[in-house]
Amino acid sequence: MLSVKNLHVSAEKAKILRGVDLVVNPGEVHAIMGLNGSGKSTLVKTLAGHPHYEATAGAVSFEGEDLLELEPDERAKKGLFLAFQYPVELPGVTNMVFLRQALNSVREARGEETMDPLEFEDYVRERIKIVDMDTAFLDRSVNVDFSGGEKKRNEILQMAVLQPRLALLDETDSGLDIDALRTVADGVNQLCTKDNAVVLVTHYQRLLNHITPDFVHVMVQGRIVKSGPKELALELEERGYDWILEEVNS
Amino acid sequence: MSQPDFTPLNTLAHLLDEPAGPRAAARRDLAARQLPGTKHEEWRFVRLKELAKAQVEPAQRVRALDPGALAEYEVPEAKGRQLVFVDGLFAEELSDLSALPEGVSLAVFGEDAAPQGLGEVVAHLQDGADYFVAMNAALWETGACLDVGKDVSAGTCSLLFVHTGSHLVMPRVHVRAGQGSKLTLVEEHVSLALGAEGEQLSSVTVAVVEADLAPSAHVKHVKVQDENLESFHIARTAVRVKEGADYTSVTLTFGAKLSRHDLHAQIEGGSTMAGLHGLTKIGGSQVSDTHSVMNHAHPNSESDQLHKCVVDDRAHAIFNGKIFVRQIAQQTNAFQLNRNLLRSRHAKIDTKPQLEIFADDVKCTHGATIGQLDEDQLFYLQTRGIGAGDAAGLLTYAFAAEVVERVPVLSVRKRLIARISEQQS
Repeated sequence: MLSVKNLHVSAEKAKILRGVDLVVNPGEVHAIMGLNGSGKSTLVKTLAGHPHYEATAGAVSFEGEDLLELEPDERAKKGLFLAFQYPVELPGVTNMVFLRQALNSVREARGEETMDPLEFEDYVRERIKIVDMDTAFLDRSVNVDFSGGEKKRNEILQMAVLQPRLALLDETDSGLDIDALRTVADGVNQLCTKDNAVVLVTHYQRLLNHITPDFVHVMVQGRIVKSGPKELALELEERGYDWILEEVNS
Repeated sequence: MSQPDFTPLNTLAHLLDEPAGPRAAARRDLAARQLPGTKHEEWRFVRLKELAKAQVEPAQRVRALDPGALAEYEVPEAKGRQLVFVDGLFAEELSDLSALPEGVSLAVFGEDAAPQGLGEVVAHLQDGADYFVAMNAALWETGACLDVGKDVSAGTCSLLFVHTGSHLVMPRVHVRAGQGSKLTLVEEHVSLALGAEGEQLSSVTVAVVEADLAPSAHVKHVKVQDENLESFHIARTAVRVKEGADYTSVTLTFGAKLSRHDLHAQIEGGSTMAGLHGLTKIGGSQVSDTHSVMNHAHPNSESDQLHKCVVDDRAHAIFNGKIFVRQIAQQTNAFQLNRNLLRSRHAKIDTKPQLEIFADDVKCTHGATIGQLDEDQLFYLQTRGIGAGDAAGLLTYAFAAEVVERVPVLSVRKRLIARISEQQS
């Protein structure tokens, strides 16, 4: 589904990623862990097409296409989704209008029928149950005056509406209390199928208590230096990152 | 005496050369005036040269229009309470006064039957007698008078000014809202493309609208200016608000090559509210200038102003918002915000909030911002599958909608929402 080969990425002349390799297949859940500044967020933002990040070397293919050649909206239409670490506020754009326009753009690109407002309302009322959100949020401006937890839930709601093939979740657990974390994780679990895949970027093990990864990757200084099964996350939680840094430096 | 380089006036020079009749004084006054140049502080961003060269003259007869031609400007809320003017002339066939409530009079007038107090509100105000006000005073032909009696609710009334050709049009509107009355007024200025396919004929509008609110009157005023891009639109709206009265206007400016709106509110009573809101959305090489004056001349009043501009291509929007708080006007609460969205590198904004406060116990808040579309917001929308052009359109819409949502007439509001949703990239 996704194949990242030797990806180098710079932002404003600073080299951030220095040769990332990653393969994600349908049905898999990957967790990417690492210290601040190791390049985790840069990796997923680059995959989503953020204009500030420039791929200077390497290749990324998604569903057989050169992902780096596509505009951000084209990537989304192909089934890529990024849940933002800091969801953006859109004053004056209601969640309902936003979600419908997004879904219809994606459906149109896939040659599917678009939904009229009534059809969409039925659909979204069904999907919103996945994240246990009040439907009142649909009539509010996107993320405006939402709490941190509400913003993160709203990201997963967008994922639930768009039903992407590959979801990149950028620190979706940060700033969540235990209950909100469980709700968000439950939502993600409900959305996982054998045909789609999830890449979680996280600092902490605690999200992985709720969403079980098939693979854990550790990023250090812009590269994935170690990959392993879910137990690797527990080991990191217990021992910290120093032993990995030592391994890398030796 | 008259302006040799001002064609619209040249066609009327005979009136100015030997002024006679009820408006001799007004005509003499006009003949003595000069078209303001860019050295004039109030006109420094607007070049009137092109206006002066416009080949226009007053319409001689009412152009017959197929009623269907105006279908898109229908205001169902004002059915039976609507006057239509075509090229400045009263179009009886298109007007409908069949549903005027008792106590409401909506009628046209000529110079022999000008309503009492005509010109009083506009003359009262700062810069009341500028060149174009003087021009309208000297040369208007058919006016519209809307009179709402004491404690009467007039509902929604509509004045539609349609331009079909190269004409000089001088609308003159006089609104009197009696004590405790209620009124919603929709004033629209639009162009119809007739004749050769797509041909855009240039019209010149010089309008004066006066509204005089008796104590406790409530008036909502929507003005839409959506003339074609060859037109010139110069307008003055002057309002006087007495004790306990409430005047709120929303002005939407989309059209005209050059437009200028002077909006003056004179607050002469306590417990009053005056709201002057506006949206200017222009592109191409349009120039649109809004000058507002909020004059708090009595203690204990409130004013509220939200003016937004969306400027694309090489267009230029100007906002000058004066707020005066006279020494007597203690406990004034005045709010003004001007927000501008530049949609292109070559678009231009000039904004100038201007507060002159002579009282000490007042609360005045003002602000002006100029920005572009937010990159993070654009990227966010794009990651959800919305293309760059649609994303920009959606954000522009959201910016403009804050003003449009204040339009109190549903059918007009819906039409305007469609107007500001028009696709752009």
